[in-house]
Order: sequence, then structure tokens, then C-alpha cells
Amino acid sequence: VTQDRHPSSFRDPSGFVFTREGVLFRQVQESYRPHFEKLMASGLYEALVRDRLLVPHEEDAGALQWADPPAYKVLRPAVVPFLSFPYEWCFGELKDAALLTLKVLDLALDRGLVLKDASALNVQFYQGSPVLIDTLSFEIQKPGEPWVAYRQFCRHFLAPLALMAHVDGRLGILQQGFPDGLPLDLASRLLPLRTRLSLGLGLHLHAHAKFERRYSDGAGHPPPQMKGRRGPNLKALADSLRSCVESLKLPSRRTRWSGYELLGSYSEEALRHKREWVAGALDELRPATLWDFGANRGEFSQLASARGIATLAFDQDPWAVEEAYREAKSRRDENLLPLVLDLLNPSPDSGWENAERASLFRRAPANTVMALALVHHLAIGANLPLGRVASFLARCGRSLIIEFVPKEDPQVRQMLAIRDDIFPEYTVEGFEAAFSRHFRIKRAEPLLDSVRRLYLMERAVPE
Amino acid sequence: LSGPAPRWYSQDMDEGREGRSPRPQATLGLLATASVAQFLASSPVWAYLDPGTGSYLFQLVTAALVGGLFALKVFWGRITKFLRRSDRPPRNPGP
Repeated sequence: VTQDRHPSSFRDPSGFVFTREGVLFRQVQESYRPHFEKLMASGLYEALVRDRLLVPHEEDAGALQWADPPAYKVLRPAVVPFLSFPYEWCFGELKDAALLTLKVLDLALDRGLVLKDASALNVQFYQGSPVLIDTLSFEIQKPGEPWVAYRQFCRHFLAPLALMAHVDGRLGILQQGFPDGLPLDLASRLLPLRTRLSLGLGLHLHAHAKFERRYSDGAGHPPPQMKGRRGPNLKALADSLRSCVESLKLPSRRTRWSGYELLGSYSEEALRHKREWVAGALDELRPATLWDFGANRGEFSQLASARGIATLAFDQDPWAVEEAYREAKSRRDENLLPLVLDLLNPSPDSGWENAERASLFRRAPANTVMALALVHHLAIGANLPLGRVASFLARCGRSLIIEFVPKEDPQVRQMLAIRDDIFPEYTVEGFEAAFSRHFRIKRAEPLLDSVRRLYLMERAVPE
Repeated sequence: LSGPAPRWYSQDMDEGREGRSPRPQATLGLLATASVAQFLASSPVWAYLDPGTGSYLFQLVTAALVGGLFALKVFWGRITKFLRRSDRPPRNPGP
């Protein structure tokens, strides 16, 4: 029986995650015993799981028999079905993950424990809300010690949130280039001058960055007045960070996409027909999982999530994703997770040995993929041959709900108004021919009061 | 990192070096280097995460400010809670 250690589980000596015969386990090493005992005995674990702040686990005494020494326990954690990464989250998702981390820290401090790390990668979205997935993040607090994960929290959460709130909502993507969090000096330099005057950012980002720079590579020396000093009251530090995070807001911006329905692509009748048709297709397919590409604010994704389908609503526009997230949150939608994704440059395999964080393809396929009002953006907007679009979608899902927007559509006409029409294949016949190489067209129907067409397809070759 | 963790920038280091060097600047420089080294050596042995020297020191320097602001906030919260309570007409005065 082979045991596959998770490729990202190697930094913390307290334990690691592995799979064996398709089951996910977490091994806890003997060295972590006192901290684990305190986590369980103090009632912290129970409180966190009850409030859905930490992923629950079961202890597996049987697995302990074959675990490699020096194992202390083997746990079977609840499985998060789809792992998303901070660079795929919108502002609100990152903010909620930050607040979750601080809440967990605060509850831990009440019981004499502290978070020994504060990585955004330790948070996943599960049933509509963020949860901490690293059960081994806790350790017994040493009185008077500064918070060991303070810098990590500021780099992973505060810096990207501040940049999105005060510079531009698209800067969340910077997290992809800095998996250990944004360097504080970089964030400090990019932020506008006025943020230096705000108490929270002035302290936790700007002054912090300055201090860090001063003592980097051993330069400078600790001022003598620091002799014998104690660290801050960590409850106070957590509260200060919480106020700072809570004060950050994403300025609303009416982008082309977040006001998409105003463009008048559909008459009322067409929109109603499209909704009914998509709902009918979902009822026919009954998928367990669905990826909606170009989901915008998730209007059609909601048709899936309302049917209990685990739905991911991908869009490249962070403001549209933000609106989708806020709406899903207000509806307490447990089945919908909106994520930021540029289909022309989907998340790659990344991290050490390109294996720590999986690409979009390694997290595929979903049962069903939905691509409504998207093909013209890929084929005409990005010059992608229809055959390449079809093969991409076939890798992502087993069945497909797709809308074809022909050249006669006002939107496509507008796209072609100022450029040469170099797309002779972009016709209904060309579309059907290209997609028939990968899919079997089950149903096709013209959208009422529109030149667009809706298709339901199933992958021709299962895998 | 065996044995008791030494305190960084300890008192006896100050005294031990006193008067031995004719150049006070050189002494200070040596002290600074030694104290940073001592500080790093005394960082918790169980921290697998690098807390960052600057970040660690920053927390020591700002501890009073962070703690003071928190105390003020708690105090202010109590005052407003008290005022709100005394504003309210007495509840259910009874027969």
C-alpha cells in the first residue's frame, strides 16, 4: 500500500498530510503531543468545530498502527472538495479569511494557546464560509512572547487587502507571485501617502515595513531600551489587527462586467427563456459539481447552487466576483463559491517543484461546465480557434451547457466593428463542427427573441 | 540551541566589555552584532516559522502602544455601555 505525502505538506515538523488508498490522513508527530493535548483538553477544538471555524477530524487508532514513527496520532480530517487559493479569491473572501484567522487566534488565546502560523493557504472555503484547515497550527502560548506569526499575517492578509482597498481591486493577483505573502516594503511603497496617517495601516504596514527593512540582513542593532521588554498583549494585537482589517473596504467600481446586464444583450423574454432552458438542462443532467466560466455576478450559477450542486463561479473581473460573493453570502448559499480566474491564463501548478498548489486542470474535471455568453470573448476577443475552446472545455467537464453568440449579434458586431473579420469559421456550422469533435450535441435550441443559441452537450469520449 | 536560552543583550555582556576597548564605537558595534546574534539564538526553539528579526523587535517596541490603545478601547466601551444603561428608562418597575 503506497502512502502519498501531500506535496505541500513539508514545512511544519509537527506533522504532515498524506493519502492512502484515496483516504486523506494527517499524521501528528510525537513532538507535537503537548500542544495537541492542550488543543483537545482545553475545549478549543470543540469550540472551533462547533462554530465551523476549524475543519473537524476523527482520530484513527487503526492507522496509527502502520504510521511511520515518530507518530503520536493519525487523524482523518473532513475533506474540502475543491481547494482554492488566495490569488483566486476576491477581496471579500480574503477579508473573511483574515477575520477568521484573527477570531481563531482570539479564541485560542482565551485557552492559553496561540496560532503559530497565519498563512492564507491554511484557509479554505467550505460550505460557503472560510475554515482553518491546519489542525496543527496551535501551540501553547509562552507568556510575554511576541506573536510569531505577526509578520506572516501582515504579509498574507493585510498587505494584499490594503492594496486592493486603497490602490486597485485587481492587485489580489500579486499573491500568485508572492506565495509567502507580499513583502511589506513593497506594499508600503505602493500604498498612497494618506494610508500612513491611518492608525492601523500606519502601524502594522508602514512602520512595520520600515522596522523590518532596518533589521534585515543583520543590519542595524536592537536599541538598548528594548532590553528585557515583553511582547504585546496578544489579545490587544489581535484586536488592533481586526479593527484594521474591518476598516478596509473595496471601493465599488462599475466595470463593464459588473454592470453587464445593463448592456442590453437580452430582451426580457430572451432572459426568461435562457433562465428556464438552463434550469431545465441542470434538472436533466443533475450534476454533483459544476464550473461556471465567465459567470459574471453568478446569476446563472445560482440556478445550479439552488439545486444543491457544488458550484464554482469563475470570472476574471474581481469586482463581479466580489458582488457574486456578497450576494451568495447574504443568501447563505453554501453551494456557491465565486472565484477570480482569467481563462486565458488559468492558475498554474506552482510552489516548490511546481507541486504545492495545483493548477486549474489538476483540480478538474467538474461534472458539468457552463459557458454562457463566453465563446465570442474567447474566439473573437482573444483569437482562440473554436477547436481549442472545445478541447479546453472538454478537459474541464464531462457535460457542457454552452451559448453560441453569432456574428449577427449586436455585441459581436460591435467587437468586429473596428477590426478585420478574420474568423470565417465562426458560424453556427463551424461551432457545431468544432465542438462535435469533443462532444455529442444532445440538445440545441435558438434563444427566443435573439440570434443566440443554447446547447447541451456530453463529452464524446468519457476520459 | 541546547541548554537554557541566553537572554539577548544581557546585562553582564555590557559590564564584561566595559573599559576593555579603547574605541567606544568599536565596542558598540561589537555589542550590536553580539546582541543581534544573542537575540536570534534566544528566539523560541519551537518556532518553525521565521518570525523575522525586525518584525519581532517591532512588536516589542510597539507593545505599550498596542496595549494602551486596547485598554482605552475597553474603557471607552464600558463608559458608553454605562451611559446607555443609565439613559434607558427603568425597566418594569413592578407593581
